[in-house]
Amino acid sequence: MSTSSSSSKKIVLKSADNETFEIDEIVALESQAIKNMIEDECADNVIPLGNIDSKTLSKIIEYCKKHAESPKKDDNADIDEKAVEDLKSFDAEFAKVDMPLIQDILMAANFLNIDNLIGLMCRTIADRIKGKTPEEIRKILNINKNDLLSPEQEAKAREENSWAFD
Amino acid sequence: MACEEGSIAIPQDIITSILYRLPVKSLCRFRCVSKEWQSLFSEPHFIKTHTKTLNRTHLIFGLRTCTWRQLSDSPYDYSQRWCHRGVFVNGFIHWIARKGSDHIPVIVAFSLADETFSEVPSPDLYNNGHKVSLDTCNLVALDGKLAIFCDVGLVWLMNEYGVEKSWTKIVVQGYNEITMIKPENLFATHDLTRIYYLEEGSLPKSADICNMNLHRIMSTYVESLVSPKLDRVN
Repeated sequence: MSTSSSSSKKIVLKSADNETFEIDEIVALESQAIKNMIEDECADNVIPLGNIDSKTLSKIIEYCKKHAESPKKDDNADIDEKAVEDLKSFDAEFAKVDMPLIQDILMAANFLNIDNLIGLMCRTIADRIKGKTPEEIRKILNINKNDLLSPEQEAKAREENSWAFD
Repeated sequence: MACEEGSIAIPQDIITSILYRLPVKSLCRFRCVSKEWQSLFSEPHFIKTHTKTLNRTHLIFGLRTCTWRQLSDSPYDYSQRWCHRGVFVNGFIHWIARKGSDHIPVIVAFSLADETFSEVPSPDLYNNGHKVSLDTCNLVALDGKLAIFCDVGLVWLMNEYGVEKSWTKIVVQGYNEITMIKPENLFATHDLTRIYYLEEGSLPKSADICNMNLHRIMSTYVESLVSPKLDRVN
């Protein structure tokens, strides 16, 4: 990982497949979980992330770097609109990945407690499933087959909400 | 996690966060996905958070519409025909419903703010000396005003919200007792003094509609809630 400043404090993250990523502390602080670890002084030189593989972790770092570098909304009331647009288009590009990777990023972001990234992934999934049929949803989200409505209940629910099936 | 291609396995709390971000229409369609989802969508906390997440007040109602039959404190009877035809005016969503054992049709207003029901006084509906039943009419939102559209080609417009005397009768021009009413084919002048029924085939181009100083009257609840003004052709 390249770094923007050699003088800033570094944090090393280690993925499940033993790849290490050296990043600026400011980038790592995008993760509330890592921030807590650092504040509680329980972060060693290397933070092992045994449930995140290197492919996912590098995506997470890419996201955190970009967001750490961008001016925060509450820093300045009249924040540069261009910066906001830039971040928006970065997020849009970032989310253009397949569903398995979306899932991995979401789970990792959830574990690392990166609110913005959780939000972005949830929005992305929402966008992809909003036009689907109930059958497709069950398949995509692996809905438990023991939790299905009876045929009568399902017919009733469909009839009551028939307008939503147009 | 073993998943079928393109499918994902994520915990329910994250799925719930995703559902908060779905439009009302999707949620209504997904009510039959599972028992868990069906009960989840009816929980006040879910509805509240969903509304907050989308940050658009009108969506409460969409979701409310889904769970309409579960609102226990409504003294009114909503026939199937009207239940998705609420019209949003002045912070209230309006339906034509029936009241009491006599099934008298009334205009019911549901307050967005405090989630209570009330009635809006309706005008004396008549045509050529004959009384017209509210039952045969549609509610429409006309530039932020509540209006009643009767299939005999008449519109009553409530100029001042909640004021019974302010109901004004307008004859719809170009309307010949078409059996299937399509309120989306209703157009009004901006001063709301003239209303036209323009059929599909005879629908002028947008430019002509603009020249005629007309705008479309929206009626279905989704569009009305978004705001009838959005669809003005001007």
